[in-house]
Amino acid sequence: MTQTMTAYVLLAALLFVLGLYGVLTRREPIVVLLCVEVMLQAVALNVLAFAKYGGFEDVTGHVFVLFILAVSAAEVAVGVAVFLALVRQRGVDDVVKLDTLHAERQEE
Amino acid sequence: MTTITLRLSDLVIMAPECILLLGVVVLTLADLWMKSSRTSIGIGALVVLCGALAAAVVQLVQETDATVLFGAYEADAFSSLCKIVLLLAACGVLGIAIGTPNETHAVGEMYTLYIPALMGAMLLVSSREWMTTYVALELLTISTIVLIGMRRAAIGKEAAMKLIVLGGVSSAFLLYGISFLYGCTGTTYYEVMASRLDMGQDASLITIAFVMIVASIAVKIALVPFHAWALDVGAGAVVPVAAFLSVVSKLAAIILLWRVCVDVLFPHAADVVVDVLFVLVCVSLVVAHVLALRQVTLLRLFAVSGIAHAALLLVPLIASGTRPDVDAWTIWLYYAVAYVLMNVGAFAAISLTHTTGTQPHVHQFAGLVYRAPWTAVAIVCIVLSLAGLPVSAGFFGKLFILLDALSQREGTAGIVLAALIVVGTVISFAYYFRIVRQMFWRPEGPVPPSSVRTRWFAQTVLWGSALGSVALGCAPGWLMELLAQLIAHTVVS
Repeated sequence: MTQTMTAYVLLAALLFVLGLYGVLTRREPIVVLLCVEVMLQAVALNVLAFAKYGGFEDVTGHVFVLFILAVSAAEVAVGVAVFLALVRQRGVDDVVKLDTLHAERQEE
Repeated sequence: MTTITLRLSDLVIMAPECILLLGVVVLTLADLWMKSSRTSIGIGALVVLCGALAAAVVQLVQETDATVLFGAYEADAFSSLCKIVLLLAACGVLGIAIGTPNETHAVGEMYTLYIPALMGAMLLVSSREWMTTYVALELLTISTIVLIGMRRAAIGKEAAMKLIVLGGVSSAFLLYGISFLYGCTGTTYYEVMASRLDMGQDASLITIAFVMIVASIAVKIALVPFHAWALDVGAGAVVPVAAFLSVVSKLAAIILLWRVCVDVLFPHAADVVVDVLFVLVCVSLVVAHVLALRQVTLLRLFAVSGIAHAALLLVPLIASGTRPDVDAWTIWLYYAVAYVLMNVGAFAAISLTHTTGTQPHVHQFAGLVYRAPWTAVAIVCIVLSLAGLPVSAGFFGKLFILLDALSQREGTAGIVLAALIVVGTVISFAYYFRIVRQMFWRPEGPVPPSSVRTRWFAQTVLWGSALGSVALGCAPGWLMELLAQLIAHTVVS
């Protein structure tokens, strides 16, 4: 591992953990979705670091990153649509208050 | 420098998926332009599935064994068999869906969207490369999310939201694990990766990557520490979508875990991976049954009991330890067929007795025997299979898995697995027979007379699965021999 690659991999790990922390602690649905994206992009950065500095000759890693970007964009498109529909229908934007299926679980 | 070309003969190898792709395009356009009725779109989707089923059967009979795109996609006997099982399950789900009152915003999409989801599941079965796997997995997940989120009631959207966040996080963990494996080997193909991984050099990194991959697939299967989402999402979805989640999505994820373990993980760190899976399976077998005892809403009940069945489906994998032999694959396939039959049948029963606008509840079966005696008989057959009582597919499936665990894993591990399977089965009698008790020993409840008799598609699915379960229970050897014969050369090679 070269020093540059180590730096990138550490940055990616930091981003990944930051995203995970956000998913677990934030209460606004859109911010939660953004944090999931931060996790996915951390992975993209990780793959790119390996692809660029790993000494591999092909472009597998670069192609992989394109796939990660495209698929996560599709996921976000669906995600934002569902979140907006839900927030409009319920009139609250707080994942704790939106969680009624959890309440159903408690009643049982 | 090699150039990638996709020839027509390659498309023939991918025929089942290609038929689904064509079908979904045609059906979506037909839905847009021709203002066709909802049912006709549903029947169209069923025809497309039957076409893909025919293609998969032809591939199986011709013993197709080929790879496409440098080995990223492989069609062999085992994957053809898995596809046939998944396609049959999806046909059952569509049968349940056709004729249900529309509870969604959509018209035809409620049927057409099952097809891309199924395509993702089928690609997952054939994929031998991480990028293909990831795209297939997300195709399955995103299509299912839309199916769940289209429900008009807000709980549908809430369930979809949970699946988006959880699916996203688990995909991120999966990709993070893959990215380290890529970093160690420079490839994304399972086979090349397995040959290049060097446990001597980066053992800790590889082990962490493996654990991440196993954990994230366990989230998709909903094994116990990661099971909470399955209950909520199952309860928020409409009945046919809940059936799809608990049968097709779950089976696809289990097949993925088998594939990944056998191709990449076991050659390098079999002991660690088997230990992790052993703990997950044991905990799932106990906790799922105990949780199921407390559930009264049917979708939650079947979401939880599905976890127990999923854990059972992983037992042959961990029992074999390193490389599953023909017996392990055969037993797995037998129980997969049994699982599809009994779960699809159970969801058909739920759908048939369900009153629109309410959450399916165990009381909906009250006094069913007085309203529709024959339907009640079919449901009894399915409950017998689910509970694993003799002369049913479920019984022999469980028995084979139990005997396999005892014979393959010597010492305490095998005994622990076998004991947990037996104890779990006994606990499961309590919650499955609640349904039978409602049907026979309760007066007809406040449930308004529903259309139990007139829903022909759902009735066919119910009877098909009930008779199938009994038939497999009467002659288990026949299917076992057939399966063993079909996959023998795939597994050995």
